[in-house]
Amino acid sequence: MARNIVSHHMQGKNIVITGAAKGLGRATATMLAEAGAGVGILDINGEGARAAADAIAARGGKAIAIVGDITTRDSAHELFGQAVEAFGRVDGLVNNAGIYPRLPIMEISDDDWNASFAVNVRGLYHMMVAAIAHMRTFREGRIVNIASIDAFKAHPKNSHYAAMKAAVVSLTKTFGLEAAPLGILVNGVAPGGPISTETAQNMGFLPSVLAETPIGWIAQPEDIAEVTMFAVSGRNRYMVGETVIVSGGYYIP
Amino acid sequence: MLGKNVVITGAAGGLGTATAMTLAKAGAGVAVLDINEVGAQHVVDEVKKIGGNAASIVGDITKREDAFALFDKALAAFGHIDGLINNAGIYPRRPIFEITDEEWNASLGVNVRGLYNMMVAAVAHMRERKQGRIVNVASIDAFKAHPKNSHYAATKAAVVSLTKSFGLEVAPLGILVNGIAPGPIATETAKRMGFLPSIEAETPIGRAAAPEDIAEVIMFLISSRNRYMVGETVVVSGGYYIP
Repeated sequence: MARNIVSHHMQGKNIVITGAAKGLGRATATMLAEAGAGVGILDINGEGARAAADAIAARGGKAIAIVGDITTRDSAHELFGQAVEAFGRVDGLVNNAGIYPRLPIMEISDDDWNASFAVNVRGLYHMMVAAIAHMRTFREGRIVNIASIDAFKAHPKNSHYAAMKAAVVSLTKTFGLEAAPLGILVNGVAPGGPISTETAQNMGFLPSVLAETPIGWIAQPEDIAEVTMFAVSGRNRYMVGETVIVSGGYYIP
Repeated sequence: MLGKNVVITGAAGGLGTATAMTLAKAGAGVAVLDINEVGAQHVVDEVKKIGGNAASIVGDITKREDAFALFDKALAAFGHIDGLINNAGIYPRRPIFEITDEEWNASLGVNVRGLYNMMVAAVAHMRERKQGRIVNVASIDAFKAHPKNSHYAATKAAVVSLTKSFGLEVAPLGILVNGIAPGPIATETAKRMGFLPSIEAETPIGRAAAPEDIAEVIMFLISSRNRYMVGETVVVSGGYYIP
């Protein structure tokens, strides 16, 4: 793959990525590491996190595995603290962790709701609070929250997931406003359309989604990660509270 | 951006100049398109000073045939065009009840019709190569009530709409059309108009954008790092406006 000439000013920056053991999170961490960033691979899946970190290190990148659960305040802050301990300074946070179990709209149980909320919203929130507490001491930082096009549209096939992603977009706006005066830019990415992750492949919906996607091909996670990398980099100096849709045209609001 | 050639309309102005310089520093060839001949040549000279490649294309984009001829001139100068940045726009503030027919027509002519004409010309070329990028510069005023400049806001809303429609239409051709909606930018024009201090007081990031801050986002969208965005207008406002 040809290297792009234009750097993203990632050299020497340290970025924590949640849910980075596989899929989009892992692709994002790998891309950031290749651009010269140190990456904290945060995941509840310890084996996966360590494998991802090892793969990056094997290619000459700088990566650590941070293993644990972000859904409680104390745990999330402790995990972020591990990154600060390891790197000294954390410049960016990518809130990529999320769960996507589809459930028929009338059959979502209390436990299903609580699980979706805990990872997709509460964990994301806790990590932002921890990151801002650290970044504000430097008056500089970047946070990118991975939402979904489902945040913006009717989605009866996965209504609780969509509702949680709408909540993420809301938090991105609110935290964007609040943290901008501190030099911390909070923005989001809403991926949509057909994206080639293991999860999507297993669920079997890629062909039908592709048929409705104007660009006509299935995205690789790297195609999404490019936008995340821009938003978490020093090249992004003026976006605040904005969630960028990356959908191949599958969804244009 | 190395080896890529990009047409920038309205490139003699603040944001256009900053965008031309940002792209040139990244190795792109820049076709500096503007109705202002002296201004366009100045940008070309600045690009060449830093060792970049630029040509000035002088003319009026508001008529279909003229816009096509201007794009052809850029094509002749560079051989192929990889990107088009529709940055040309006029911003005369008018009290809401006093907008004349001529003022409406002028606003539509540059901000909408000229933008459209350039897109059609660019698509005709880019579809043959099955690749291309177009970035339309809108404004946050596209999304909000704006009584102080209502015709400008309406034309920028039209630009956002065209970005969506063209996005859908040309994505299958390998051409990605997206947009950018800047908030307050500290250009010379804006500084002269005197409204920056009051806006900065309401901007969470605490300052108006430097034109280069906006140019960074444009460059990302016009680059090959943008492979999957279609029809999307990105708001870049420092928090002044969050829809």
